[in-house]
Amino acid sequence: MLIWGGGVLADRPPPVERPAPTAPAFAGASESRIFLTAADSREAAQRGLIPAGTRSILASGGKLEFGQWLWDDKNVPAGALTIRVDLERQLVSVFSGRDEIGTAVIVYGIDGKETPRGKLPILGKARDYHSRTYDAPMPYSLWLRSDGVALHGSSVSMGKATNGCIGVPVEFAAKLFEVAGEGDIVDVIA
Amino acid sequence: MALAGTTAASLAVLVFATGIPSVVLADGGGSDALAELLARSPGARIGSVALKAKTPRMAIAPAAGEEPGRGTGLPGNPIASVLGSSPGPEGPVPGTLPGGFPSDFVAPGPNPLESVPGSPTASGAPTFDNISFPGVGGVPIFVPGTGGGGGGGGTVPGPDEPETPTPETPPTELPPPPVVPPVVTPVPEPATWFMLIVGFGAIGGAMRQRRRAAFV
Repeated sequence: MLIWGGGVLADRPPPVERPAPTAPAFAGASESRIFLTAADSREAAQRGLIPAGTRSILASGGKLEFGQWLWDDKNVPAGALTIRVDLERQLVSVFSGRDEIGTAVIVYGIDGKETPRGKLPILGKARDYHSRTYDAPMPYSLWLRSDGVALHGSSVSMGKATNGCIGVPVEFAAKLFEVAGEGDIVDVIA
Repeated sequence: MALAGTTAASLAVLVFATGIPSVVLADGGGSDALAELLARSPGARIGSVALKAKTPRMAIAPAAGEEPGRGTGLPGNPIASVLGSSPGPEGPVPGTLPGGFPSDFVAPGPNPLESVPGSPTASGAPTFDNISFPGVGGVPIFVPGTGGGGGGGGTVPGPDEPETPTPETPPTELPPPPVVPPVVTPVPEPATWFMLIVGFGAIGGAMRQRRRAAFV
């Protein structure tokens, strides 16, 4: 029996045994989708692997090779599109709200022509642009900077680098091009 | 002051009395998700070579016709291939528009695909309509050095040109043609081959070691 402020409080009620929270899910999700618990999401975000608050990721079944990509937006609830580029890990992840819908291995700027870091809004899109500076194709370009740096389709192979742009497999770039729009954020981290 | 101290102590007692609800977090499956994320990366880049330029335009196919919502390039499934064989792209474009795109950014000309809303367009943009390529399946292929070329010396009288008699000249002995030794392609010595193979093996072993260290 506890006494406070002249009154009498009831005995402390027994602790309620709450069931272990299950990972959240949405109807019709693909079997290849992994739903994270709150603890996993928090730890993965602390390690810099995913954005904070991520609910589900795609299952790659292991290491992605250069040229490989994943895309699965089946029944994913609509949400703000976020593109996360991890230069150190050479990966790009696309999120619709809190759910990952695409990932691929990237190539990025060579030393001396580094890819810019930070949260870069998409300034515009070009389906079939051809660089006059480097006489090279830039299919499905998402412009990130006014000097021409973009995220676009490219040949992705180990050891290769671009002149500042972020290169992703062309098919992946095509799918990303259809869902991305001006103003969507591309978060480039080192 | 005494009242504030009393209030604080009372609050502490109240919190202790009511207790803090415990939150039980599931631990099942957590290591799988983190392992998935950690294993996904191919590792940090080791050395780099700039992608070459001088490549033809890639054929841009529309997204229609594919299974909606699913595409994968995992091993065991059809691995996504890169359209065309050109190495890639590229980089900054010279010139900028204030707060906008590069000054030479123009949408392509008559394109069977949809146009991008909001993209700047320009008249007279180059298209493939007036350019012929020995393409295969609609994909233009840049083949240098083709397309005619003439060459060869001498002239050939046309069918209407009259034949003019040439005066007879005494035959003269021409000097013997110079002997041009055949071009011999240099072949590496066996020792050079051996060093080449050993060098590649050392590079491969070093790369493998660095990759292992990256995943630690």
